Amino acid sequence: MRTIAAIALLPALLFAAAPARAHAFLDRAEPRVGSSVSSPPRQLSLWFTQNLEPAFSGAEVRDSAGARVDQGGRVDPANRSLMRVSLRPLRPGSYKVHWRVLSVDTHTTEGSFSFQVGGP
Amino acid sequence: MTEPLVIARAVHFASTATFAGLFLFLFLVGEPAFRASRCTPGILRKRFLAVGWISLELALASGAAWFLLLAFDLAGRSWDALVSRAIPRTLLTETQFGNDALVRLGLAALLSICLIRFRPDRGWRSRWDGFLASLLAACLIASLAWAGHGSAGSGAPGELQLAADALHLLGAAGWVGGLPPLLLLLAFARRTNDASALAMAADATWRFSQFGLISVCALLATGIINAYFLVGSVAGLVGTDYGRLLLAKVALFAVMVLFAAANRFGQLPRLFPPGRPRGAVLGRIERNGLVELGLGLAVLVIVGALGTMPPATHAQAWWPFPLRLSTDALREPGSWVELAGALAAVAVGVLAVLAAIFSTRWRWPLLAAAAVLLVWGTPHVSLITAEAFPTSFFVSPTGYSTGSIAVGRALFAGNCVSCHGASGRGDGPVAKDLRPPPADLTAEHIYGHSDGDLFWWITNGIGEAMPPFGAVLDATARWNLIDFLHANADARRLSEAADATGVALPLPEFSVECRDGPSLSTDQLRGNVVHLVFAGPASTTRLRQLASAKTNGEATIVVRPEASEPTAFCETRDPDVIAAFALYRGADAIDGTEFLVDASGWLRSMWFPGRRPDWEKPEILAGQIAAIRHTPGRPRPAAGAHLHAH
Repeated sequence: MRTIAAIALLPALLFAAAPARAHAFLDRAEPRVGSSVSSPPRQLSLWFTQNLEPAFSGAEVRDSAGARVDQGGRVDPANRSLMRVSLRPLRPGSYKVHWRVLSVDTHTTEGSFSFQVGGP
Repeated sequence: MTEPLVIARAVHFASTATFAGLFLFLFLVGEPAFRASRCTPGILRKRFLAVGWISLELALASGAAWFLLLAFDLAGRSWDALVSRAIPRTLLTETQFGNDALVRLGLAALLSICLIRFRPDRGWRSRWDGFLASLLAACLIASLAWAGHGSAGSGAPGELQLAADALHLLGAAGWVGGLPPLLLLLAFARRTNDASALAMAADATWRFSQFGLISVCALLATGIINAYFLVGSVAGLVGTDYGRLLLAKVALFAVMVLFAAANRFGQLPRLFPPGRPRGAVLGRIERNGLVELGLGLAVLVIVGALGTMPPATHAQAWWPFPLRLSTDALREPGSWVELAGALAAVAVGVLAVLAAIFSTRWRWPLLAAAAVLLVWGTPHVSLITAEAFPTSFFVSPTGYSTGSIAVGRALFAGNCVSCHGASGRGDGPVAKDLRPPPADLTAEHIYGHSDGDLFWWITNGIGEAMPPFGAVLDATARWNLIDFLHANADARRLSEAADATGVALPLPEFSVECRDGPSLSTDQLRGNVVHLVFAGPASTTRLRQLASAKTNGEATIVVRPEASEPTAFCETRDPDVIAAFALYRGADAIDGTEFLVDASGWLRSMWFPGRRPDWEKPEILAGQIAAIRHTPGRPRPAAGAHLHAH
């Protein structure tokens, strides 16, 4: 049985891990997901796994009271997998980011995370 | 919501393939066959025109339905929002999908002019008409690639994926889309049943089979490229919904190829030389072609569904077999010879069994030889297999960050130390009463198991030896623990390393903030040697020394406690960074400890006050930096376990 399985699985050697595509997921963010930063960031950057459709992609940032602290998210024209969100001056506290994006292959994905801004 | 979208996509793919396939068929098969046999079947051309118009109408209707379903989804499934926010207009003008739809609409309009110019009595006005129409049709079907998963990549691999997808669609249109006109042609010839119509049908079948062979080869080659990008691994193929549906599609494709091969190699030769009764053979070709068409439509329904699903590369693959391939054992010297011998023995043994079936005279000696070879060879093939679990190919979602390691460290202290010990060496307080003893989690074998194997053991336990934690810790916590285990095992190697040139360990991810600049992640620091300095109250002199010293091209980063003075360097005060790196130091008091990271992002060496050689001497530090710059480190085994899925 082991042998049959071993022979049947030989083609597996031909496959290595491939770069993943399709459906945009958050690859990383700056400030990092769940991180705490000491000085208030002026801008939030979100890197996705795929190019986005600017017309249907956005993000918002809210403080712990639920008030919007962002000035809207914009897809970087030079790198369409990067979204930049301008932030108003942030006070120390916890902030929640919610993003909702449409990938170029027409799949909508969304997600949220938070980050902390520490004291002065 | 998914089902209407799947149906709209399936109908759109099928009708567009039929529409485009008709033009390709007319240019490459139909009209040349008519010309060669001097047969002018006006009724048949009228039927072709009917296929053209019906498939065009279906393509327009299903394309509109697909577009509206997507717009409705984007409007949050509210008709009011759809209208008030002018979603369809934005979708059409500002997205790749919409622009592609406009281009396809334009191509369809041009092709409908071609259809009007196609005359039942004499076909195309000129060969140029036919050529132009088939070129437009090829563009129409290929441009569907921009509306799907194939368009998602970027850079050169993205272009390869897009080109493969476009060719795949063209191949499908050439084969499946050419079948309806071929079947009409065969039915016409059999009903007419005169010699010239039958000769024309034989000629057309021959031409179609040439062109079908090219389509099958193109479909196979481009399908493999697409699968590489969207499935990526055998685990993705057998362990995800997307992969299994793709396997079903490949199985249907294989049956289609069998029927096509029956026509190509079984029936086609019987049509030539002439003089034989052709009607019955054409009837069998028609029947096989009808089965191919039915299977082809089933494949297109699967295509409709696949495009709405997340590709396998984005799902965790549930491994269904108890074994996986593993080349770990092949690191042993001599194992290659053993494996080659075993494989040769098994191959010769199988050949001997086959030979025994055909040779009555040598049957028993051959079977005896085969038995010996197989009994000896088979167990040795297991050299390249390893035990596997359903989660063996799961990919950690945590990204090996200092935050994850810090959480994992706390979880380990709370759940694992009584058996595995505070430093994970299998020496906890209750360890001496346990049989088998708890594993040393810092030993070399920890690197031999995939993250997914460790995830399975933490979740389900190991027999009687280790209890399951699946109900105690959530999935993220279990991945955090695995990140901790790797960092903890690495810590032992880093502290035992004699110099900077030996080890190369994955650097946990974190971010630093630089003066007047954006914050940077460790990924972005690559390309430069990084000198990481953990500062404390006593570090003022050292920091001043570093600030005034001539650098050796390295980037210095200071990690300092929350309540300390800012420095001129890029720095971070993230307590998780301190908690994670305290592991490497082997003590919570990490002040004064320094690390070097090479330009490829590997953690290479550690120094703390009192350790030799003394990095406080500038020439020693410069020597260390030069050494790691010139000598690439040997990454520890299984360094790929943390390969990011994206």
